[in-house]
Amino acid sequence: MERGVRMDQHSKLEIFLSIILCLISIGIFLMSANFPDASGNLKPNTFPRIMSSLLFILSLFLIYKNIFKKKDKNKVIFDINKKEYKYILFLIILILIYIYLIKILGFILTSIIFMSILIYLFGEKRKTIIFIFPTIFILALYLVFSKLAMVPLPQGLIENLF
Amino acid sequence: MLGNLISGFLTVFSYPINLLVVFLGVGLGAIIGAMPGLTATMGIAVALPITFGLPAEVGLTLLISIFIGGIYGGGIPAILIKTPGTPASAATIADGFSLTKKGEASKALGIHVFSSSFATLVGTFILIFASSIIASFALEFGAAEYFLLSVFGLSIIASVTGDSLVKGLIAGVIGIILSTVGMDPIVGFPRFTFGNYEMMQGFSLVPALIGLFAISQVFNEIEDIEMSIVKTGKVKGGFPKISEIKSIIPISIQSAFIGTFIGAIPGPGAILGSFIPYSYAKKQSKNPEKFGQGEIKGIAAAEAGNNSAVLGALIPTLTLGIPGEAATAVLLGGLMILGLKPGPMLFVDNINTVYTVFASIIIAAFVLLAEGLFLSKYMGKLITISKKILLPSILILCVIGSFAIRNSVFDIGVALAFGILGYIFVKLNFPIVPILLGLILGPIAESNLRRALMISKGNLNIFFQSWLSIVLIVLTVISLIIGVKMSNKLTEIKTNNQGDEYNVQ
Repeated sequence: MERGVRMDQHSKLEIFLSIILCLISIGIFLMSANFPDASGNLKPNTFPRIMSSLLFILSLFLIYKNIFKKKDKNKVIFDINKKEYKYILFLIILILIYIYLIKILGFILTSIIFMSILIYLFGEKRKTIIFIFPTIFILALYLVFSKLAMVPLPQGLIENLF
Repeated sequence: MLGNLISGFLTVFSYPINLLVVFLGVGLGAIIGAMPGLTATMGIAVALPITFGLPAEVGLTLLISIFIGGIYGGGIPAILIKTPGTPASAATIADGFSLTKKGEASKALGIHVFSSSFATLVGTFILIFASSIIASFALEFGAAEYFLLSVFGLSIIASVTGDSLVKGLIAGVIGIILSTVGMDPIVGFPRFTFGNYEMMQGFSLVPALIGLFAISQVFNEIEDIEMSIVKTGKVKGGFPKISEIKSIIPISIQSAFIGTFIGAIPGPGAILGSFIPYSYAKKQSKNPEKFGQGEIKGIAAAEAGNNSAVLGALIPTLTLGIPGEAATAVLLGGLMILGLKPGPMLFVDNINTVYTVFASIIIAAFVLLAEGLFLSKYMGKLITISKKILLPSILILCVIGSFAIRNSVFDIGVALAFGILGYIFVKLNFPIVPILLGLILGPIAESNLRRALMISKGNLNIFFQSWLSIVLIVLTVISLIIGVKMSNKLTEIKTNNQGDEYNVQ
C-alpha cells in the first residue's frame, strides 16, 4: 500500500468537513436571530442569514457529491505520513505556547527560545546554528523593526532594559 | 497623464528613499522568489509590517518591487534545478533547464533577466495607459455601482477555483461570513463577537493574509523538510550577446502584450500569463520542435509573459480594488494599511502617490536588469539554504507582521487560525483565494447594497439605472464565462504537467 491519503479517505475527510460546515451554518443562522431590528430594508442579520443558508446548501451538495463520486482506492490524493502530521500538530501547540509567553516575556526572549526549539526539532544538529543564529536574527529584527521602522513589538523583560 | 508621470519622476529623484526601496525590494523579491517554496505572495505578506511606518508611495513601491523581483526570481531555480520558485515560472523549466544541462545556464539566466525587465517596462506603460482610462470613470460610481463592482469581484471565484465550483463557492461564502464579524457597517451592532472586545472591529486583514498565505505555506513546507538539497553547478552570469538580444526582442514585445492582457483578467493570471505567450511563440516559430530543447525564445516568451502579467494584474487591483489572484490580494491589503483606498477614487484622491509609484516601477525595470545580471552568479547558492532555518525565520516574520498592525497579541492567534484553515483547505483541494475575496469584498458588498436600497427606498431598479451599472453587470456575466474557461485551461495545464508544484496559491 502506498503511503498517503487515498481517494476514498479523502472523500471521507471532505464529508466530515462538510458536516462541520453545516453545523456552523446552522449556528450562525440561530445566533443572528438575536440581532436587533433596524430600520431600513436590510437588517444587520439579513446578510449573515443569506450567507449561512448558502453555506448550508453548498455543504449539503458537497456531501451529496462525495457520496456518489467514483472513488479509486488506489489513487493517492496527497502525501502525508504520521511523522509530518505530528510535526504540524506539535508546531501549532508550540505557536500557542509562544503566543501565551510573548505577553509575559516579550518579543526577544520568547522568539529566541521558540526559534532554537524549532530549528532543533527540524533536525539541525550543529549547536552554533541552533543557538547563535536565532539570537543574532532576532536581535537584528528587533533593531530593524522596533528602532528603525518604528514598528511596535510585544514588550517584555529584555525590551524594557533598552 | 504625461505631466503626472513627469512629476512622479521628480518626486522619486528628490526623495532618494524611493530609489533605495526599489533597489531593496527588487533584490529581496528576487531572493525570496528564487527559494523554492517561498513565493512572491509570501514575500509581500511578510514585508507588510515594514511598510507601516513608511509614506504611502514608498510603502506601495516596496511591495510592488518585491512582487516584480519575486516573479523574476522564480525563474532562477526553474532554470538551475528544474523547480519553479513560484508557480508562474513553470513554463520556463522546459527550455531553461535544457540549457543548464548543456552547460549554458549563464546564457539562460541572461536571457531570463533581459526578457523579464524588458517586459516589466512594457507592462508598466500599458498599466499606466489602461488605468488612466478606467480611472476617468471614477466619479460615476455610487452605492449601486460599488455593490455591482463587488459582485463582479466575487464572480472571479469561478476562475480561481479549479476543478470544483462548489468548493470555490464554499470558500467564498466562508470569507464573506468571516467578514461580517464585528460591528455592523450601518447601525454599528456587534455581530458574532462573543463578547470579545478585540473582535469588535472584526478580523483585520493583515493577520488573515499572513495566515492564509504564509503560515499555511510553512505548514506545507514542513512536510518535505527532510528533502535533500539539490546542489547547483557554478554559474558565471553575464550579459546576453547582442545577437541573442536581437532575436528575442520581437518575442518579448509580443509576450509582454499578451502577458499584460492576460494578467489583467482577474483569475489565474500569472501562470497562464507565462504559458499562453509560450505556446503562442511556439506556434508561430519556424522551428517549433526546438521549444523545450533549450530554445532561448521559449525562455524569453515565458519570462516576459509572467513578468508583464504582474503589471497587468495591477490594473484591476489599483483601479477597481479587485485583486485577481493571491499576490495582488495581499498587495490590496497593503494598500489599505497604507491608508490608500483601492478602487476608482484612488486616481482622484491620491493621483500624485499613484504616479510616483508608476515612475518608481519604470525605474524598477532597469534596477531588475542590473541586479539580475549581478545576482545571477550568487543565486545558485541561495537556493540551497536549508529549510530548517528558513521556516522558523519566516514564522517569526509572520508573528511580527500580525502583531504590529494593531499592537495586539490576539491578532497573532488570528493569523495562526487562518493558517490552519488555509492548510486544511489546501489539503482538501479547496482554493484559498476565494476566502480572501470574500473577506475583502464582503463588507463592500453588504454596506453598499444596504446603502443603495436605503437611497432607493427598497426599489431594486437602482441597480439598472446608470450605464455603468449595465456595463458592470455585463462584465460580471463575461467574467463568469471566461472564468470557467480559464479554469478549465489551467486544470489542463496542471494535469499535463502533473505537478503539485503548480499549486495556485
